[in-house]
Amino acid sequence: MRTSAPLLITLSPFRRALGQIDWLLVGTTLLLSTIGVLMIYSAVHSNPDLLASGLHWKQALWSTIGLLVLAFTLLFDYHHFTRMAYFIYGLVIILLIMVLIAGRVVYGAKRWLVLGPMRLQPSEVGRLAIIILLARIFGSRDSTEPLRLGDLLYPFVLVAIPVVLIARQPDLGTAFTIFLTAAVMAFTVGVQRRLTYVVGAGLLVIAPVGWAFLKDYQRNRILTLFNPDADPLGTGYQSMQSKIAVGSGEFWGKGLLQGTQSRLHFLPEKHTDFIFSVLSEELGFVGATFLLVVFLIFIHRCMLAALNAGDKEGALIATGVATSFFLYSAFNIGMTLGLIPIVGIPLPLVSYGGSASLTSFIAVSLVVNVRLRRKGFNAF
Amino acid sequence: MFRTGFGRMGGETPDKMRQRMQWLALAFSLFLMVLFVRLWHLQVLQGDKFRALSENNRIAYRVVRSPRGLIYDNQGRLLADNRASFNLYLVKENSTDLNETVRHLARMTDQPYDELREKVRRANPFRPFLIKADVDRNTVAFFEEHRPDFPGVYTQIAPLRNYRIERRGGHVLGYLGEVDGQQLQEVDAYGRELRVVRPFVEKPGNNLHLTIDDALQTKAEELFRDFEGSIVVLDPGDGAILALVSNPPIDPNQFAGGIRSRAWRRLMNDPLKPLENRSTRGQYPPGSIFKIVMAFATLNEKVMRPDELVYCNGSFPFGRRVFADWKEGGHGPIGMVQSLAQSCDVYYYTVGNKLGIERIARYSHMFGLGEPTGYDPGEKGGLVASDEWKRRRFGEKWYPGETISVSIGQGFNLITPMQAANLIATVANGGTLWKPYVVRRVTSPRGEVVYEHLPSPIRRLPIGKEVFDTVREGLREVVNGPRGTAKKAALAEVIVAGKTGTAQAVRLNLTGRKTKPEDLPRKFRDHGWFVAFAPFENPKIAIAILGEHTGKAGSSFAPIARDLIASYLGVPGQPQAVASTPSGARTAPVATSTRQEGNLLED
Repeated sequence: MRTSAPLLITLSPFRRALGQIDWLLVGTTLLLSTIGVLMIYSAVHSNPDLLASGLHWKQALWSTIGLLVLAFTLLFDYHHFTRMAYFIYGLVIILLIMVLIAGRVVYGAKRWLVLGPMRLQPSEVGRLAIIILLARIFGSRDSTEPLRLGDLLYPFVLVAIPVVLIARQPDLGTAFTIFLTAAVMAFTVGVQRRLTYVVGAGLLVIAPVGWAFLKDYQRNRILTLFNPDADPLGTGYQSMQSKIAVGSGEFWGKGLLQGTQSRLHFLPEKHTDFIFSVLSEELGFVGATFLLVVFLIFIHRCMLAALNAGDKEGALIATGVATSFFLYSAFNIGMTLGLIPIVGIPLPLVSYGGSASLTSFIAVSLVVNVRLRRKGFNAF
Repeated sequence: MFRTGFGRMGGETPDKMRQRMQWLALAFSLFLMVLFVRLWHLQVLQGDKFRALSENNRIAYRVVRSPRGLIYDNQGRLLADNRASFNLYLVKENSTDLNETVRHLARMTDQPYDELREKVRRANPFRPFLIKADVDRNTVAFFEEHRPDFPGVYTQIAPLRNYRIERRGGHVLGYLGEVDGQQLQEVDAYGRELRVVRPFVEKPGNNLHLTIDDALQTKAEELFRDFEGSIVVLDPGDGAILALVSNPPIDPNQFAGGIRSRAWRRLMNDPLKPLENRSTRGQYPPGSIFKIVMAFATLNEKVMRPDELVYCNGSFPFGRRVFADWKEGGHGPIGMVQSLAQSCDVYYYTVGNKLGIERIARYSHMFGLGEPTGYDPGEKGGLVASDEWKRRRFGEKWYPGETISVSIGQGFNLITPMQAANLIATVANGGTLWKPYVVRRVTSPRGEVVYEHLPSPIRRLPIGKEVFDTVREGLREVVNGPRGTAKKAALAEVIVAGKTGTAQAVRLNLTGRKTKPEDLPRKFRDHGWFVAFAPFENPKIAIAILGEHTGKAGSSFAPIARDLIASYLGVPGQPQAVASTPSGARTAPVATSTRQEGNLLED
């Protein structure tokens, strides 16, 4: 043991840190991505083309990479990231502009940048960049007074630029979610009550105008939410089929790989946006509830990290990540359950998508990081 | 590297902010609870329904056929109804082994495999593709029995037009395709219908009550079976069409299920043009029935008194030409009544020359010639020649010699059988030109009257009663006179009036000697006309018969008209032998002695 003593001493900060890592958060993250890989396999196994492309293996690989990146970024204080916030933000803006210019068109939208063998979806990175940037802007604020209009204009412009770029792809779901995340972060910091009312009233006025700017398919998606039977082979088709998939799972589910909705190709985008339908169909109410609980734990661990954060920056990062995960999962699941219009939003960590997975792991890493360097405790 | 070089940025989290975070966490949890409740709702409460839906999940468009309306004749007899037929459909998306399925479909429906495969390849994968309409029971039984082997194949009952009278009445009843709707329904893996997502509201067609008299129509078709041409029977009282025959006939049933292209091509290319409704689209020179119009013009224009005689020596010199009478040697001195009865050409050459083409054209138009009667949208108007028409058509003036030809119904003039029928109906009713009609009433399936025909006179002819009396007397003599040209039309019970006519199919030189019709190729033979009305005093029925290329067979139509009249008026139809003696008195029937005389033909 003597020979190992110096090594132990050297490693002791690690050991102390390891003990402070939120293993529950990391565990739920790994659980979600494992469920994701499994469900992706289930979703693609009946389609020889998709199966041959090995999407589930790719997702497993991305999750592994994500885990390594998570571990690596833990080595750095999260303040390093907030200090680089503008740099990261600028990089994302450049990538988003490049997407609009040279992006690959998939399903009529330009969302991916092809970089050699990799396909990058900058909008995914964008949501993290905004969280970090806002944490920096609001976190470095000395005043504890609620935010006034003047305080919000600058961050609003910074958020609006990537949101507009993403909306132009068009990826309205992601753009809207990012904007909402930013808004929640601002309200966490505190916004003048009067301003809240004015903005709320303003939104009500703008909504009909915004309706006019929506594309037909976007309007249809909203309309079908209220009347999904109106066009069961058109816009309502996905919603209807998703509901059939979920509902037919009943209490115990049809069993893994036994889903008929996906086998018969009634479900569109089943390995990405409708992965929750596949899960609900095959694992039933039990499985779906389990996933909801895992998400609930995940989000609560994030909020806990926020509450116990060492400073406002950390608190805001964790709040932002929690909000972002909440909005993504709530919108995605709400959409598959026919509660929310069909928007192309993935289920974080579960849906297939390399950029999204990696971003999610980095986001989790930031939250773990915030907890690691929480109030009254300094890991290193 | 692990040392944080950072102070507490922005200081510690204020309590108010922490409070808001707690609220936020609560809001997140609550929303996830909403999702949980929704899951419960979908998976536990409604799980059964969705399970059933998913197990049977096929959403399909099904073709639904509306039953069409019924068609009745003037006595309320059913002419056309709907019968159940089976249509065979394939929904490509639901098929597991498409090639095998198509092979069986091709075999059972007698279609070439490659052709069907190609058609199926182009079909919409989600919508039912009609493999074959009106398939036989064996095919239905086969696919019903082997349903699990051929997912995506299904049969469906469809109401199909059933024309109860085969090969008959096609030109009256029309040959309309079916009007279909599509309804969206969920069907199970075996093609059973489960739930109609969006129903197609079946709209049974309205019922048609026609003026057609089925018994008369049947009789007309039967009697006219061996001829090409048309019979139009009108009610002179209001222009109601009692029967309408166009031969060769088409079988409306052939169209009811969607006609096969081969059969359609055969119909299209048939030199006898069965698709052409000859009663309204066939245009023929009027021949001697035009003398009726000439008689009205002559008397009304006072060109000739009724009793004024023209001496007919069998020819009419005009300029350098000589126009011949159909009867060699001529008719001798002849007045208006006998000119009609014997169809004397010289008489009409004479009055035609005096009338001039413009007045002839004016009277022709008065009787509805030269314009569609308005019965049928596709109707032809015929042709009434005039100086103006000829200048327009040929860019040259009218020659008086051409008037001579027109006077006996040859030359340029053309009329349709419908116009001929309307002409004789107008003579019968004393001067009202009615618009012929076939739909008396339309009722909805619930019996409400949707449409009721209102009598629609085209015009009231400005011709005096005494003129009508004279002409009608002439027409009576055609049938009942000792020298009449259509004595075979005479009936013992009622007095029939009529007029024969022969229309040249090709314009022959009227002055030249005629070839025997039997020696001519069919297409050069003349058309035969017969128009008639009865009873003479109170006409109830007006008939026009045209036989294409019948040669001098116009006499065959006189008995047809006689039988139709007898049938419609409900009399035994005893042929009335008309004495050929100049005494002209109607004597007791002597059945066969007049046979030779009865064959007398004009022209």
